Amino acid sequence: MCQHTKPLLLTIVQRSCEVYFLNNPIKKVAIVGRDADAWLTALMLQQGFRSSSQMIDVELIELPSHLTPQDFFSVLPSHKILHSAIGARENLLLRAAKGCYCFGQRFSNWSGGSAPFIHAYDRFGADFEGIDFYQFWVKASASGMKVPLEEFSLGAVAAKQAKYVVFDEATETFSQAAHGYHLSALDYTKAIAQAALAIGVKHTPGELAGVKVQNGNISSISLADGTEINADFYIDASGSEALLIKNLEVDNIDGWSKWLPANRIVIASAPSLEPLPGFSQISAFKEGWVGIYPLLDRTAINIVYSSEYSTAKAVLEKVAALTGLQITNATEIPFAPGARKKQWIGNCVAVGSSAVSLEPLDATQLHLLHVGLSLLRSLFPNDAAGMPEADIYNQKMCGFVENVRDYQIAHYHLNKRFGEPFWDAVRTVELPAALREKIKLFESRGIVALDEDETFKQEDWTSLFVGHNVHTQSFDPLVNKFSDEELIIKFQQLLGHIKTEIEKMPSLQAQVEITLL
Amino acid sequence: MAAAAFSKTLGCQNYSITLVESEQIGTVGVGEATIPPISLFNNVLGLDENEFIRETNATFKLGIEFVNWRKQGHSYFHPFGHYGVDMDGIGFMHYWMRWKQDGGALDYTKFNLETMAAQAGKFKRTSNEPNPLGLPNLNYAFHFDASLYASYLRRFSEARGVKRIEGKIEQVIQDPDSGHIQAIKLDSDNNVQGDFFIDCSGFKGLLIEQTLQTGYSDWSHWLPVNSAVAVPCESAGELLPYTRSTAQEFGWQWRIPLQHRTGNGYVYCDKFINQDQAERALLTRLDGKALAQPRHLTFVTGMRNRCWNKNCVAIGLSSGFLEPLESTSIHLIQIAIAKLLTMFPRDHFNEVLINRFNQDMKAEYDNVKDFLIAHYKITERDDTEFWRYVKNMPIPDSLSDRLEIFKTRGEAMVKQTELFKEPSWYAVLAGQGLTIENYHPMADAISDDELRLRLTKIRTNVQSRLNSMPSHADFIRQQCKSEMSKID
Repeated sequence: MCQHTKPLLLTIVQRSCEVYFLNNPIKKVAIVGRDADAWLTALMLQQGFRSSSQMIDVELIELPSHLTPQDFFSVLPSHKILHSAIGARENLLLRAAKGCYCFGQRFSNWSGGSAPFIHAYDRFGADFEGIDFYQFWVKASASGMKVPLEEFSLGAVAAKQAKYVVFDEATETFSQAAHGYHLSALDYTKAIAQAALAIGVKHTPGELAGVKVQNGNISSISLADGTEINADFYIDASGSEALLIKNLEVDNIDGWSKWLPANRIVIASAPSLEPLPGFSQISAFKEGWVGIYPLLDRTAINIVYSSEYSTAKAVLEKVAALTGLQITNATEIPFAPGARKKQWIGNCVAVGSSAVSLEPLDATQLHLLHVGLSLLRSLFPNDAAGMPEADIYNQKMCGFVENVRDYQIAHYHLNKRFGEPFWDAVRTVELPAALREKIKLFESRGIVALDEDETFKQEDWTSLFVGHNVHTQSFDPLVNKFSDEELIIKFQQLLGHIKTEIEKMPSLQAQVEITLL
Repeated sequence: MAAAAFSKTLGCQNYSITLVESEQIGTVGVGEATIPPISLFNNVLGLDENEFIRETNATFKLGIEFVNWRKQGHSYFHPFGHYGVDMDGIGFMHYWMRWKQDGGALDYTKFNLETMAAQAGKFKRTSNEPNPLGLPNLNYAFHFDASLYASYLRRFSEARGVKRIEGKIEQVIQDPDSGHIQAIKLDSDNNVQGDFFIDCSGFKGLLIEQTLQTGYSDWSHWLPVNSAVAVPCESAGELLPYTRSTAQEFGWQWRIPLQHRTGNGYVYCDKFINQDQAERALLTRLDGKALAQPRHLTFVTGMRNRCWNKNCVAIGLSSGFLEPLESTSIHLIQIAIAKLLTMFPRDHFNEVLINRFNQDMKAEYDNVKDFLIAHYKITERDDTEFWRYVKNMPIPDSLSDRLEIFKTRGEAMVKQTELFKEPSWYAVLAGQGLTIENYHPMADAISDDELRLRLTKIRTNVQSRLNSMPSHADFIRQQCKSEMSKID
């Protein structure tokens, strides 16, 4: 378990992969893996090295794909940064990936009978005189105002009304609404692969036969057809089997099932939704939860549950009845939530699902791959003989990983589904310390304690806590600078403003029709 | 219509308006379709729209669906209203064509509210609501029972002092010097004198032709259909808010939905089939039980050489005839009435003014004629001699010039005075399959992002308005259901 609260002692110098020490430069990188993890890694690295003066050979040993036509990715707005890093033209990539815009996620039935809430990718209201809007809302709610917090989020209102957010001068002053995507995994991966090959990634399809280890490093790998590959640096993108790094590690897995109870995912399809909704729907039920994600040509479904309490057949029937959707082509995958304590050992770094295994909750798929690849770019080793960068990498990745994990745990922990075995245990289990502190602080002061390796920001945690009915007991006394009348006027102005702006915005359906079809 | 209009505008205090009509002579009307300018006419008369609809068993019309005109199994829609929104002085279609060339996938019809509403079977009057978001308004006209319209207007006219005399015309008395009509003698021995005569006697043209021998231009070489057989049938299926015209072997068939029944007719050329064959064909292609004996009529497509001759103005079928392919018959009558009122003589007949009237009416007829010819000429069908003929026939220069221009840039260069505007020409010419080479260069001025944003906003507005509309049947049920209506 790493200590992510320890501040960084070393500063990291951002490098553009230029080599300073010429003793043992990295000359060859071998990526062993499959699917999106592998191809995104290949594309990112190849793209990065193109601007470098040193020629570094990138070879992708592509293992057989595990993707089915049902697989999909739900990704956060920050995934756009990855796309610009690989030089993707957004609309073309979305079209190729049958992708759809997503302005948030709507959670239903997690916290008992209370109303569904939208976790939108936007902040709330506007800060008056530098004080966080949430503090004003707490005071107003305590005085009897009934307007839910999410009504003050332009992003949430847009998501609910299936509008595509277009900014103008007015909205830019208070909203930061952004959209993530739902993508067809197979089509997305194909598009990334094409791009990678187009810029010269060396592509060797094959099956891994053996891995030779020497002095805590991988010295070479051999394929089923006899080919031997010698590289200076190895990247393990092989998924949960972690075919490379498992040869270098001892007792390296942190399991999280006491906090995240599910161990099975069923993936399926349903007919397209029309008109397209602006959010993914995440509904809890007795044995688990179901996610509904519109794509361009179908609706993707995932059902997350535990084999201890149900079966694939049973949850499928239940979900079909609950949603009224015609569900087809279901496949099931087992998984075990957890992460590698050290992701970079010796000359091998595990990325993507070989590093971390998370629930598909909160659109975090591909996110930690993205974080890992970004860190790898700035910490790329320049000495084949020794890689001290690994420690820093591991420390920072640990921070990101645990913070994302905690966000997911929070959903489960704050559930109010009493009397249901799948849900009961996680309500009472002892939480990771940082999460415990976050909840306590939010309950008492409505502030979110964030450290430096956080994916989710103040507004994301606020949205989650408020949505799951965590009440803040006291508000910032500076709020009292404003009289009740002043606050009411400000609130009404905000709501009116949001309403007017939203009305002017194009519908998500029209945006998709014009831009993505 | 003439009597109603004159009684309302000229007024019976200043003029004596007499209408001579015979109940013995049958009228042509079955169900009729109209175009939006009819609302202007109704407004001049001060008619309440819901009352008018109830009195005539009317339904709403958003356009015409042309089935099998381009080729078998194909259909396109000629809507009222506009495609998208014209921007920066350039027609919307140019922007759409640019976007299409860049890979855009949405058909241009998706930017027209009337087409979308027709496809969804919806209707609503929109211009009486506040519209802060600038959503598109729905343009519409009506299908109605023309004979009920006539009797409705008769009640209107008589209430305003129009004198109706029953009788058939036996003799027309002319001034021996000028040739002007002085009086008409009826079979009932009535003698009706007048200064100014409006000939609404139909194809016969009792005054304009049989008396004044004005002469007729025959256009059958361009529009060969010369017969029609019509029959009403029981309503079936959803109440559609549009007319359907289905091209057949030797002509075309209309389907006009009314509140209480559906009007049908086969318009054909008798060089290829006879009356019995046409009747049998029509009766096999009804979607409900026939409710009356089929009625036959013949006509010669064309126009009187002068609509206004001496002190007689021919209005309606006496002035000319064009097949009802684009529902123009009633409009041409109303236009003639409007022009006549504009140029109404004070105390003598001015030859210059009369020539002007005649030129204007000729332009109106020519314009409609060209538009109708286009439907036939630009067909891909060649399955019968009829279609092979129209596909290959020579056409007026005015039309061939227009088609040439349209092929180069998707615009018909419509003049302000023309009845059919750019959207109509686009709908029909593109619908019939005329390929367009390229679009207006100024449509390239805006950036790709700006173009997509504008298209998205237009599409959003169309969808938004559409979502607020009830079904056609529901709207009628709530607002203007007639006594004879079969809408439950």
